[in-house]
Amino acid sequence: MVVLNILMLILLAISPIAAVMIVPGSAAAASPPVTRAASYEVKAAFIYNFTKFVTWPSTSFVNAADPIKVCIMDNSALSEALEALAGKTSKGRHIKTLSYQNITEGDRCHLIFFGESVDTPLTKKILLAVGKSPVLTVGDSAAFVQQGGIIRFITSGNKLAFEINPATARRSGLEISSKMLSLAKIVGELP
Amino acid sequence: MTVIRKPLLSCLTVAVAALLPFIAPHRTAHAEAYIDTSLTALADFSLEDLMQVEVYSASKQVETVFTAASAIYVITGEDIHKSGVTSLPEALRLAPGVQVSKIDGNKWAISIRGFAGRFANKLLVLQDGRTIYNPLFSGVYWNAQEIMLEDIEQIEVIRGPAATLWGVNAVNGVINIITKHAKDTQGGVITASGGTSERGASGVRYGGKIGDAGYLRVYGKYFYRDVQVPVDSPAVTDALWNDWRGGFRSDWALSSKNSITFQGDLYESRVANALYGGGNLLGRWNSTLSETSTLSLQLYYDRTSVKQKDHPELRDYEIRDTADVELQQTFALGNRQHLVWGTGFRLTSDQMNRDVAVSPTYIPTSRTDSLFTLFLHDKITLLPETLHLIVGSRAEHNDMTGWEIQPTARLLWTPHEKHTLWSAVSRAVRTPSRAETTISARVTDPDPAIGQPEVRLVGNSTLPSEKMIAYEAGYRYQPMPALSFDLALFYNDYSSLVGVVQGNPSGGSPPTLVPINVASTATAVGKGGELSVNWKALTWMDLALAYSYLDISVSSSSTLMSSDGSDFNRIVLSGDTSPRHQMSFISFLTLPHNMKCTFWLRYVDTLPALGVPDYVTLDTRIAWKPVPNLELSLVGQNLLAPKHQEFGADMFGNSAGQTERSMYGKVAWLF
Repeated sequence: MVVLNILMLILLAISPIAAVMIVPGSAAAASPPVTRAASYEVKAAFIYNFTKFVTWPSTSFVNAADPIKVCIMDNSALSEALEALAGKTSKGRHIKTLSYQNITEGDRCHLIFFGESVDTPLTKKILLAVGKSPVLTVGDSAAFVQQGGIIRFITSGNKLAFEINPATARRSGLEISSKMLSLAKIVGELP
Repeated sequence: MTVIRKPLLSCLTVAVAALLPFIAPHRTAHAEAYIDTSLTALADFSLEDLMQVEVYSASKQVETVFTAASAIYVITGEDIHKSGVTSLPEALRLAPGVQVSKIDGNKWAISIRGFAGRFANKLLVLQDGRTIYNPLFSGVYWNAQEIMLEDIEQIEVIRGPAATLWGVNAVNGVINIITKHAKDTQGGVITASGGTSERGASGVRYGGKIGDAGYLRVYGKYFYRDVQVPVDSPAVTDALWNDWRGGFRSDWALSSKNSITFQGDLYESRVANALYGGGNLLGRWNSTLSETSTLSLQLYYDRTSVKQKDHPELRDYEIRDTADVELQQTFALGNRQHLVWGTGFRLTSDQMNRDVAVSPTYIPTSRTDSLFTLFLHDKITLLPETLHLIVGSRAEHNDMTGWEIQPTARLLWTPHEKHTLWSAVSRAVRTPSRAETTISARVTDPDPAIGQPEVRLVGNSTLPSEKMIAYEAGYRYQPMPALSFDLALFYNDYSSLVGVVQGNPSGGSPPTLVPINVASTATAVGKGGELSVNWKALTWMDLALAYSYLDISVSSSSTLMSSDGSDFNRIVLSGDTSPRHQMSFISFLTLPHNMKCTFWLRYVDTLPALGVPDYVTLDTRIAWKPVPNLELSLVGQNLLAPKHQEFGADMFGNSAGQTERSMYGKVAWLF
């Protein structure tokens, strides 16, 4: 502690010099800054983006103006992030976010996101209930796709990527654009 | 996990079966040299761009704490909820190194790194930027701060001096209570609870949207609690602590770069005849000037009053009005310097009881004090992402001691993303309280028949500030995202500590008046450390361990024996009123079937000066959500003994109480 403090006092003494030396312009070119954000915000942006590349069957919407309903299981930060994007549209439709507290029997979700905190039995139960209906299921847990989910977020290094099981998507009547598939890690049977 | 039929038993089983390894992914790097992107900007990113964004899994706050150059701990609103505590002071027990000693049913001695007393005077406490530190006794009326716990976003607890950023009196630490943004409290909550000590409590909060960009919440809360069994009397009093309060907070986004907040509270807290009341109103404007610069302007008004009902002379014991304005700006100078500067002005005006026959009185009975402040804080990057130097100083002018300078220098070294080392030297002062400078209080009544003079405590208007130079160092280690260690060490050197000396008797022989004068009488050295370990052992199990050690030695140049043979200075200086060892172990468990449970074990060492024995205590909470918007919980507090004492009598002669084993049940409904 004493050594550190002595070191600090020395640094303090030279700090005016240091401050002068490192004012704008005199600093060596720094490496380009890296864009970063909280993982839940990036996931919200991904989810919003997914809705642009996925085509739901026409039977999924009653009216042309119906919103895309995104249901978030157990991740309030992500729900709020998506709610903040409520003003944005995807293929002419607004995004409506339903957090799990607000989901009722009658609600038909177009997309369901399963956060890390959703336990396996509940995930299985919901996936079973969704069955082959046109619902884009997105999850975080390791075995999500094996359990019958369509998209899973994967972490590679400090960045997010996603894997898709196109066969499950097809069985659900969802059409995922080739552009999105080209960016994804494909799992399960090949299309 | 099969069906849980005996929740308590299963809680215990899983608590014991804790030691399972946890493998977690790689953690992201630190804060500098990154562009933090806003959510709205992210939404316009393509999928390819999104795949290039670095993500951090922990909350921003956790990240900031890990690379902070001070001993900081954040108690989250979620921690408070899961711990089952019912009051703000009790919630502070969740942070390492904080001494929370319940004096009686509605008074606490709360301090950090020593000098605990009902008005622990070296600690600054703020709520949403408004100071709740009262200048009369340089302390906090904790019983008047019973805010709605459901609305707390987090409580930042800084151990050690933080005066440069937070202002005068932040000598031993700062407690900064931050409530949730109105956007985060949409919808309604109704809570109701009842139990043995926590007799009855109810809270209602409702949040809604105003227009496109405004949010508002309003709340109301009422409770009544037992006051405690006094240590020196077996009699059970039936007095209750009644408390009601209400308030609001609204947040408006004026544009993408400007937002404003308005909030206010009104409260009244009553035990027997003592009535604590008040209210406040605060407005804040935040503006983003550029990618690296923000500006905020804050104004508030606060009224605090203490009254003695049914006691004509003490009808208005203290009425205090405070108005405060603060301006703060952050900006970057080049890409290696991050500066914060601010200025502020505060006026505080009081009116004390006017009947000089009643003890204590304050001369003059009414006074207005001003406080002007200016600070600059610079975080300089010496080596990108690795080495930072933080220098700053605050200049403050107050009406009692004039100018006070409080500088700090901190060195922050993050050699690796998993390690943070920091070290600091700082100076902080505590300005004399209104009481210390102007009190006139009769300690002993005169009795001419036996030649007993009047003994009177007399304030000192030329009292200098108490001063401290603190040397601190800390180390944080996060071997994996789920496990982190935080160690802080300190050596605090205090001078000009305020005590009392006997003055010259007057009134002939035998004397009729013996004054006891408030004076700078002591120096002290405080040393110790705090260790906290947080481990998310399993996805459904969070464990937190905290240990703190404290050694304070006070050297007083004056001893003044009170009638019972104890040194009056010892109590005034609060030297030995803190435990040497404190330990806390808490386990939060998420169980199947929407159940949660908590175990919280604490040990607090003896308080030598007050003759308070050490104690071990256990709190548990079991909560069940039969449906997502309904939570039922059962909480047991202080379960290991029928009752225990946590603090001694204070210098005002209020005797200490005993904390009893208690239980309560609670229903919370969200709509």
